[in-house]
Amino acid sequence: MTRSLIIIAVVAALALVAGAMLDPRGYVVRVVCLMLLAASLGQCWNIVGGLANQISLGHAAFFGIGAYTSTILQLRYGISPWFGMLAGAAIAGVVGLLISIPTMRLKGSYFALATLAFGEACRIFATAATGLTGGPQGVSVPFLGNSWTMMQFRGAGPYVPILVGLFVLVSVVFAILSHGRLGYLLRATRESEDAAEAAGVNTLGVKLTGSAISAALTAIVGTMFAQFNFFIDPDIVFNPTSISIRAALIAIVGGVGVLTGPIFGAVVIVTMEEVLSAYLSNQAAGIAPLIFGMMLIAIVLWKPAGLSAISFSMRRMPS
Amino acid sequence: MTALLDVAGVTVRFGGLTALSDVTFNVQSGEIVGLIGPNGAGKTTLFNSLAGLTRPTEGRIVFGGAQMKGLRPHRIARHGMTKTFQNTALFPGMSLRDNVVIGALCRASLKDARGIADECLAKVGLLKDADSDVDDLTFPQKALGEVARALATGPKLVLLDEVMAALTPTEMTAIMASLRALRDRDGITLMIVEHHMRAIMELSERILVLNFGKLIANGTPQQVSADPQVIAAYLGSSHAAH
Repeated sequence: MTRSLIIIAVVAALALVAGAMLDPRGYVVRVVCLMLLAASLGQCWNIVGGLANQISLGHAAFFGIGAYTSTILQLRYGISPWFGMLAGAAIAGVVGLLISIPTMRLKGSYFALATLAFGEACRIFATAATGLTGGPQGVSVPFLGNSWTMMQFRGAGPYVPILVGLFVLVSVVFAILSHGRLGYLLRATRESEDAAEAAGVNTLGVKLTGSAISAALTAIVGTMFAQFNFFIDPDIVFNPTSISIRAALIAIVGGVGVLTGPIFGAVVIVTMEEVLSAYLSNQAAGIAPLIFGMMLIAIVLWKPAGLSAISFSMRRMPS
Repeated sequence: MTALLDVAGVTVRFGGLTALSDVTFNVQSGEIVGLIGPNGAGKTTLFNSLAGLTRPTEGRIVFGGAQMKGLRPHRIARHGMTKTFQNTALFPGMSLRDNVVIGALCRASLKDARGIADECLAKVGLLKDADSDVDDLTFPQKALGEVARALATGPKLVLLDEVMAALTPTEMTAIMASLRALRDRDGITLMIVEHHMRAIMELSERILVLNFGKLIANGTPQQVSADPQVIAAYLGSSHAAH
């Protein structure tokens, strides 16, 4: 626990230093921001995927709700994304709760498929509801000049402290959940619902709470992505591969249910994506994703418990 | 005096199979009641129905004056009736203490739950193993860990499903003493499913016998062991003929 918090603090400090020292409009700072967004997304997923072992493949639903809610509120009513973010989180939290009522009774791959379908339903809805979302053309966040109150900047540099704050927030929430009362109840529910119920645990309530928190935090990541990217459309923010599956992948590669898992996963996956697209994107079509996939398989076979377990492996045995 | 647990006409059907048929009995506060019967007689199904893990098709289960049938198991546990699991169902990958803490969380903060957990572990003689990972415990330790987790919920009645399986005679004597102490010292009513006849005859004041889902006897250990129907159920009907 202490070691994990130190790693989080070091990562946050490194990112802040990079943001302050390097060219704020440069490539490296942009990549740092992408890593922080990815790590935050993975950490949100880790709450349900790691603590409750509910492998959700529909987190794009909440990500997209967050991105669209803040953007629409800003476009139509000039509301700052800081408030839009909270509205998005509230909506996603309620949606997360509602969708959980039918899906939480499903186990394993059935749950994964149901959530995947739900995410896709949201994408199709966002594409069709042109009056609300602008439909497939997407919407742009209007640029009003660099502004902290409107959470928007020309270069990536000023986003670094905001995204560090986001990553620290979701990590602290994860740490509190995992070491607190709800963490105990989630782990018990994950291991045996019958035994947990007999021990007085309201397993359904516990799972609903976990998924509502995870959904609300994911929406916050979505808002920040929209502010960072300045443009969203249904295929970007409700994307099953680049959002939903990626959220799960980041946590799985880094270490499911581990506080430091998502940051390990995010650094490795974003680096791989950037390197492959820089060097292989003009090669034969499909080479980059093929190598990406093979590397992921290799990582998961090499460290099934996730990359965050590497430095642990020598000290872990006696515990 | 009204019974702590009043079970009337409980029937459980799984599709075409009747696992329990019209089971009626009651348990007074402070009793130790044994439940025996051949394999497949419906003992675990009865416990699961009482604890809410299986929903009875028909019948009434009144516990502490309140209707339990149809409540979810955690509601029943919070009313004061809980069960342990045959073959044990401790949460793997956690310490024994954390397992017991989970039982205490339904009535205490996380901080207080740790204290309750240690008290409950002490009651079953497992405090020294509190920090062990449950995967490293022996089977008898796991079974006692289950009892400790059940105690942590603050129960009035605990349904013990084969907690004495795989014990040596010495271990069995020790466990029987701690179970008796739960009743004598803590006032907890116990219902016990057990295959080991010496243990259950010694421990129980009253014994219920299930056979093919029907309650065929309900009396003191002496009455039950002399009952021709019980002998027939255990040894085959030819032995009961004379």
